[in-house]
Amino acid sequence: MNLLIVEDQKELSNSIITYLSTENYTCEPAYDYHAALEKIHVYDYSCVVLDLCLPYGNGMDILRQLKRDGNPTGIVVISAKDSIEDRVLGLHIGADDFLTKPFHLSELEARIASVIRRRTFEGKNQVKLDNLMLDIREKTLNGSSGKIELTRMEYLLIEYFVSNRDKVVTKEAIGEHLCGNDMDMADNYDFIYTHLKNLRRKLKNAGCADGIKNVYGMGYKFCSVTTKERS
Amino acid sequence: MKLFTQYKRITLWVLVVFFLLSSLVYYFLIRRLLFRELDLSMTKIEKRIEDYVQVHHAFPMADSLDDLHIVYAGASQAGSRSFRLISPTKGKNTDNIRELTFFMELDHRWYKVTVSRNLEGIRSTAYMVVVTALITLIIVVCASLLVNRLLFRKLWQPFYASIAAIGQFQLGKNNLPDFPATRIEEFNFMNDHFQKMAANVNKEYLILKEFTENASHEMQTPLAIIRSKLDLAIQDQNLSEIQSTTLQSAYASVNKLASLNRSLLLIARMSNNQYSDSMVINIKDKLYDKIIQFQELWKDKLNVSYELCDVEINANPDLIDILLNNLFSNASKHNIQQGKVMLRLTGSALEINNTGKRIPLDETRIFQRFYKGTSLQDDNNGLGLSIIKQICDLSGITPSYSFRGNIHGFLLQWGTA
Repeated sequence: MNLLIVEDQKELSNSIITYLSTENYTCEPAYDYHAALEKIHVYDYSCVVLDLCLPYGNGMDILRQLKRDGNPTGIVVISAKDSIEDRVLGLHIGADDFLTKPFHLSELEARIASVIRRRTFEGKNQVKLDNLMLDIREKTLNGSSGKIELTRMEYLLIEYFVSNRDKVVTKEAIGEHLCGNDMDMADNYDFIYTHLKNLRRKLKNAGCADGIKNVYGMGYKFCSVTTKERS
Repeated sequence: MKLFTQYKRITLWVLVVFFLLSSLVYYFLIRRLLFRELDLSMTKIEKRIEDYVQVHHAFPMADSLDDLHIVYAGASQAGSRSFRLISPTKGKNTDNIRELTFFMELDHRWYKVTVSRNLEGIRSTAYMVVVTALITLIIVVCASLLVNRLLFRKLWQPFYASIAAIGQFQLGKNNLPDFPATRIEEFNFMNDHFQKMAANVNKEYLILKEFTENASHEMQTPLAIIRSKLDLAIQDQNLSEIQSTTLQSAYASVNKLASLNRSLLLIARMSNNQYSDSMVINIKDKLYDKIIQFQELWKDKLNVSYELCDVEINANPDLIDILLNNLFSNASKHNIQQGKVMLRLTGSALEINNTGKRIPLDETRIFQRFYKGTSLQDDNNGLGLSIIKQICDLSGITPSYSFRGNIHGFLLQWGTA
């Protein structure tokens, strides 16, 4: 899948591209307003990551242009300006998601994955990993012996892991994903451990390989042997 | 002390001293005047006696009527003519006496004539003067007090109006105080300076606020870059333990910085009135949602009990959400293992109590920015409670803190007006 990263800060743009490119994404950078518009006109992208403050123009105008053209691409806005007005305006014009800088790359990847899934309605509602099947629309997880009952938190966890397969995700990123930016957890991420423990137990009971690895001190990594997205 | 009281005190003393002095001067002046009159009348009597003696070659009958006494006495030789004042001897209840002594020759013999007069009249006159002065003093003092009071109130009216206008002035609200025009030059002068000062202060404040917001915004991008680089660095599978520990603490610090920055931005935005829209919010529903979310997170760690009643308040929904988030995070963050969180929502107040450290927080500083209480852990940016306070201020809620029996409690009251 093709992604366009519209971000004028080259360092940030490089990080995003490096992080995402290891997946089945192909990323292209655009560092300013005109380059972004040009690429959008020429190529089709599954998702555009769009910064609002750009040289020579405003990201909002690119967003408007995309919507005017009826471009079906998904759009994740990343902005340093986290004003309510911007957020409301961005979502109103038609952005699929809005992420405030500084964000976790794992969060960005999860958002992109979710946007792409939502955008391509008829397909890819299910993600198959080894003998697990994640149903995005139903928000359920199925093992080889049937449905595995998960709590909302556990589902969010597995979904986040699946979006960030084979990557180390920090407990801070997971914490923010689970309870949002506003919940100030003050580095107390014990609660993640509780939910994770339960999730692992459920996976094990269902006879599935526990792909969640503990990365010392940092966080967790979800590894799967084979992954297939299917319709 | 009020200016008027001070003024009153000074004028009162000046008046009293002035009146006492003036009545003393009066007294002596009138006394002198009366003596002179008396002496004049006695001189007249002397003249009449002389005339009588010239015509009749005999002394007139000593008339004992009125308070006039005339006494004739033989004398060996002539003496000098003199007036004198005789004070009553002690023990005798007599009046002062004014006496004229002169010598006359009759039939080649000298006689001493003494004309004396009671001073009763003079004394009462002097008394009258003093009493009149005192009464005048009292009346003048009362009148001046009354007039001054009325006058002062009227004269100082613009002053109090200006003070009230300054009291209404709130920084950053962009409503410069409106000073009422006055005809008094001094007040206009003062108002002028107040006006300039308020405008200056407001300008400086806006600049500072803008600076805070811009600085926070400018920090977002570098923070995003650092965080993304760290996100990439930890993906390396061949990290040594030392490298991984180093990365981990860098990561944690970036997170702290990010959260601090977010809080600063929120504060700046709140003082920029970016959350001015309000709507009716059902606090019970909001709280209930939060409790569910909270219980999901904390599952077995904390025990939450609550008692909620249906309450609606008018406020900004985003702010109320942040407020509840902060309250809940505080209650869980500063809790103990297997601790408790108790919630009570009544018609006009929300009470959040939680178990925690056995040390009360400093009530006077608790809502200040960067107050970190007794917690030695530095994972707390010290802005949470000041954000709570600011949201409360914006939403017409009064927050207060209490510590009773190892329970930390926050009470939010609204609609107390």
